[in-house]
Amino acid sequence: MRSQKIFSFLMLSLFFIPAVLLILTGGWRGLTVSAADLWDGFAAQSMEESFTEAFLGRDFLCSVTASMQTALGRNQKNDCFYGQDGILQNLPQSDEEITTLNLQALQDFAEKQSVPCYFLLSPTAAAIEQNKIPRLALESLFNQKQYIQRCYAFLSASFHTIDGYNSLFSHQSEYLFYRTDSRLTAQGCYYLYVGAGDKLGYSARSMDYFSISHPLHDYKGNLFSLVPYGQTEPDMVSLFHYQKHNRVIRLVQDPLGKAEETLLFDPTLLESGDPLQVYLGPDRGVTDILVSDTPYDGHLLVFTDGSCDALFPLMAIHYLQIRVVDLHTVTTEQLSQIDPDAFDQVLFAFSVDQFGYDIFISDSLGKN
Amino acid sequence: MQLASLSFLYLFLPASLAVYYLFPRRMRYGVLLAVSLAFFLLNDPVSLLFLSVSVTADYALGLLMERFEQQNRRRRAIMLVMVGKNLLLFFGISCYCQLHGMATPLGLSVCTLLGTGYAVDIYNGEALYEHNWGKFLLAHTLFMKLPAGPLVRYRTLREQFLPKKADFARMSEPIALFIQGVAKQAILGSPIRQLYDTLSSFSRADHSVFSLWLMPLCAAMSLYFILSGYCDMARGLGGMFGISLPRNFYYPYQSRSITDFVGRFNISVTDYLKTYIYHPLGEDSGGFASSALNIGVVTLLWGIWFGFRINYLLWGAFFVLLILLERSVWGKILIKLPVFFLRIYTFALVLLSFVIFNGRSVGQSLFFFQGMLGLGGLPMATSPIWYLLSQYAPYLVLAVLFSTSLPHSLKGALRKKSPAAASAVGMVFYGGLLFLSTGFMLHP
Repeated sequence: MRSQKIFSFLMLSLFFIPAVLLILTGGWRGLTVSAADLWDGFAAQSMEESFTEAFLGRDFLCSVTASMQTALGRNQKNDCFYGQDGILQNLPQSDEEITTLNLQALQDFAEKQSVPCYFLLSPTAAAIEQNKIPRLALESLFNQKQYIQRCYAFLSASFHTIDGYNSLFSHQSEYLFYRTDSRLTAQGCYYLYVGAGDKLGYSARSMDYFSISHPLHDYKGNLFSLVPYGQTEPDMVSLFHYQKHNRVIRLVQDPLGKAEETLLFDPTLLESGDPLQVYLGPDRGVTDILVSDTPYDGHLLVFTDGSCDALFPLMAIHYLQIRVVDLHTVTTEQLSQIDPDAFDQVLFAFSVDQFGYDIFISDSLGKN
Repeated sequence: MQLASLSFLYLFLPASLAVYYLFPRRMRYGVLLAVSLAFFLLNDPVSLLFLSVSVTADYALGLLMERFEQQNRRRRAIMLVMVGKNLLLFFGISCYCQLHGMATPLGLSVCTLLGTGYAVDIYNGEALYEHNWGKFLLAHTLFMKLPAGPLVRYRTLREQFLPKKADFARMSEPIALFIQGVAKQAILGSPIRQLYDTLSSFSRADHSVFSLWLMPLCAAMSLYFILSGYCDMARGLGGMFGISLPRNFYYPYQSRSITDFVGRFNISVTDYLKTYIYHPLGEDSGGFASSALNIGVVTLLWGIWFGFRINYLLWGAFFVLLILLERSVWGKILIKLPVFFLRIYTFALVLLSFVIFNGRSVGQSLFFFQGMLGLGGLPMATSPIWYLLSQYAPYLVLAVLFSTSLPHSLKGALRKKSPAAASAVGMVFYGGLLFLSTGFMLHP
């Protein structure tokens, strides 16, 4: 009887502890349910989401669970393969309808312009780092190489296509993709920069021309929130500073609006929620990279999806101006102010994981 | 808010328990009603409004029936109105939701079938007329049984709405049961359901003989762990609030015959159908044809409990056929066979039944059957299926193990040998289960 009482008391305490801790730490303030949520029947869902967000010891519990699942043999979760050496997102088959709409939007755009257009569709880590994927799972992987070739064939009449796949694949053992993020590392972007040189008409500089710093060593990216496996090593954020000829590279955020100017690679951004903003700044809609004291006078317009931000500061050393437009965040008004004919080249740089699944390209360019 | 959700476990439940036990005993049923309505309101306010009206109508009709105590025709008419209204709501709304791909309103089946049972019971004089609207509403909206039952007769619930003293010693079993239910759903039910979903998303060309055998196993295990998890949670929660609810599953996958299986799987639904349909039809007292018909009606309804689909109806029909065959053809032979063989025989047939259950159409189920027998030209196994198995094999092994009574027997043996050790092991085990379940819910 006594042991049953102790059991009941201890177990009941376990139910009360998280709520008590939440009250003591003030986390309960975030637990609000709006009248609209209540009426629409989403009150429970919104409460669950905010409570899960505020749950004390969340990271620890998630990490323990993921470790236990790994011990039970699992290395795939939330469509990601995971292990100590990284988290790789497994892409499903691309959406044919979305792909066609996006390709058609690019085609329509190119037909309206007189400026030469370039297309770079970069693969994701799952296609390049196949050595990290369990052998039995390889057969069911989405064939990104074939997909890229198909897209390139569709656009071959109106675009110069850039072979990002082989540029990355030939360096597959290097640090091309973040272990905890779906985006390309600065080094991965460097190989894209080298691979794009021939088509865009610049002579890519070797790595010796850059001083490479690694100001952040404990970055945990967007994939880590999907699979918070504690054993996965955190990432390093690297910056490639061009160290020849004293060129000054500046960023201008929202150049068509409030035009805020900052220096390239603002270190304070490394402490923000998304440290990868360090490459192009926090205001992502339209960003200009301007270069002073340069012999080049080219103007490049880039439409991108945020998957390879570190690429454009590298390319900047061959241009006077690069205008980067993030099609996820650019507004219709900003887009309408951009005149592609004012540029010498237009580059579309996307990643397969967005191009084949998200209609944002067709949506944005269609409105322009 | 599901019962196996973090906000329920660590916010709603402690708050409800605290408020419930802080109030004087005579007011506790009122608190429980408020808690149940709050749960309903947070999850499905429209259903709350609508079902409250329906329950109030039942309450009023019950009182009206009492007024015509001496006039049997009027009483019967009122009973039929109550039964008709509840069944119409149940079937009408369920069909409408299924046709439009909508979720069935929370508590629809539990409320309407309880109301139906109440109408029949008071008409037959097997339950007292309810004069307390609050208690009547509470019986229908009792929060722990809203998501997935168990189905309970009105009088069974009503008898329990009496002032009770808080007894910590008696709470240990319900708490353990609740944690067990959460763990069943979060640790085993959901991952195996994921595997099942992955397998069922395969196109015909992706399937292999092995994947088609794996599918019914996953369906059987995930259904059992999710539904019995819900029921354990409901029973555990009921115990914490001083209400005893019946069990809904009794190790169905170690049944010794199909007849035994039907009696162990979704027990409260089987009991409900027996009470209100099988018994009034005369059970099996009217010869083979009559009893076959009675068993057929009840078992078919047992099958379509899961939804109004031709495959569920066929699933029920499959069991009708097997029960009748056991009764009239091979039942006598089965009795003489070893228990192990009987369990294998039953489990194999149950797995086959899930092939019907899984199919979205009769054609798809036929394809599954053909493929399982190696007739569809499918490969024996493919790399993706080996890969999936490598990911989920431990979960399946644990599921098979925990679907048997072996862990319960071990617990019983330990308790008999050393109660103190059993208690200590229990604390560590259930504490660990809660910890892991929380992790699985945080990181699904």
